[in-house]
Amino acid sequence: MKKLYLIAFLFAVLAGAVIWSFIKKDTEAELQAQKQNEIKAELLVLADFKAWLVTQTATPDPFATRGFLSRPLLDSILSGLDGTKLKLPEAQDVTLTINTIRTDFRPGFPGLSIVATAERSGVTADVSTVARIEPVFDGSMLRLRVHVDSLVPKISWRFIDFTLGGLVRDLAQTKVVEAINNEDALGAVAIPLSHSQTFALPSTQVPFSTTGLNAAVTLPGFSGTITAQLTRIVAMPEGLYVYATLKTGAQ
Amino acid sequence: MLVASSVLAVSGQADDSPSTQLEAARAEVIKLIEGTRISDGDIAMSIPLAPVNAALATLNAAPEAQRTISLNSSGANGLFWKDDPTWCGSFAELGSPDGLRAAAVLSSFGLEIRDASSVVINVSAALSLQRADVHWHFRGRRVSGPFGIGNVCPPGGGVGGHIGGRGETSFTLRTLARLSQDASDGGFRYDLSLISPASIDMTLKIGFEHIGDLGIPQSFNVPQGVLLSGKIPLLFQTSGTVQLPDGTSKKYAVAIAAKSLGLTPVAVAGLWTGKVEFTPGS
Repeated sequence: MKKLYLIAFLFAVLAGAVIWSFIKKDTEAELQAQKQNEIKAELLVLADFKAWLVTQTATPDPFATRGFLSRPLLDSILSGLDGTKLKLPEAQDVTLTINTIRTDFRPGFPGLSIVATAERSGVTADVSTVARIEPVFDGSMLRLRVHVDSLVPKISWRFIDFTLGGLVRDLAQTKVVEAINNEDALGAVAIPLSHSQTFALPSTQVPFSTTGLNAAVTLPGFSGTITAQLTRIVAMPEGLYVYATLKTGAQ
Repeated sequence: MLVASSVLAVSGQADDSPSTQLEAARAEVIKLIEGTRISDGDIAMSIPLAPVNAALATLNAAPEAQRTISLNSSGANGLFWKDDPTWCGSFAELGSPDGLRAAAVLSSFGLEIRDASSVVINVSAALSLQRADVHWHFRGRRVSGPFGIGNVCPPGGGVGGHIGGRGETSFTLRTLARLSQDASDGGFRYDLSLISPASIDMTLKIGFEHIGDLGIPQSFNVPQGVLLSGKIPLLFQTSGTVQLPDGTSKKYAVAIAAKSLGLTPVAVAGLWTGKVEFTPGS
């Protein structure tokens, strides 16, 4: 009788394991969480952007200058990253392929739309990526870094699909995203800036002749420097606005 | 009542959801930035005129020496004045090569928007002679001979010497700054030229002992045409690099074409279209 119970118990365990191993799992919950986190991040950025806009409207800077780059132009530049591959830092057995990377700007939020796939041990999965442009002023260079907030594979798998499960676990690691951002692993666009301009009106002599004399008029020289000090980068659906304030220095 | 509660519940849920909050926040910022957005170009730049006004204010406050145009003679060019019919060939000429020196002090620099692509800088100028060395030679007045016959000069070579002169005038100098869009790599070009006056008239007054004050009209041509050209570059340079994940980089260049230029009392704004090209093999 005891043997019968034991056999029944083992059978039940085995059946449960088999059933569990065939239950499909997916990343839908992670994808939902990714979406919610993206909204929260965007709300934070918008709150800061609104405060800045209110200040600009109330006390406009008469020395403010502004440059603009359109989304189509930025997309053309970003297309240089299309088709690139990288071994994910902290998950070297996963290869991420960036199929396309384009702007997905929303008011105040420099979002990026990345179509990517992850490959591990011959298994490939589409990856949902939340990313944005992170502007960095680097002396006379404006660097638009690709900053990743999260990577979530869009797949479903069963327990016995060890490779897929491993891929999901690898991408879900926070340290992978951190390492990508720390190492600038997804690339960047470097745009040189002309933020300082010197102009000079040299002292000029203009000879002339008139009744009774030859003479020359001497005009005083004047020179100065205008320097643009970048103050803010604003993304809007139509493109990227770069604000700066001008500092002048006459000599 | 049941229907009303359901509506409240639905609307309350909608108002609180992050998605709804996000839409509301987006609408708020769009409203604040509306009117300044760009939709019909790839590259745009606006530059305030405040720095120009500030520079003009600096000039207005600058020491006189820094806003003075000087005029110096370098030699004679014939005579200032000569008279044969009445004064027997009496004349006045520049007494020495550097015998005439004048200065025009500039003041009241001001900016005026002329049209959609040019501004005019108006400047008041007060011109005064600082030195005038005039060599004069006086041969006397022709007189009629006995019985009113003839018309003769006094005997002898006459007398002469050096004498000072004086003169002053004032005028408004107008300098045109014509703006255009640079066709090669963007930015604004400016060409500065004096547009008026075409000439400056001043009467050189010489006090002759024998014949009283002699006023010699002088006209100085003001140099016209472009005095200075320059360029204000785009904030963004039109070439750069894309840094790839493998550490290499691709070079790109933006071929641009001017689209529009606008000038308002507060700023100049330009719009360009652009096409990105990657350098092969970069």
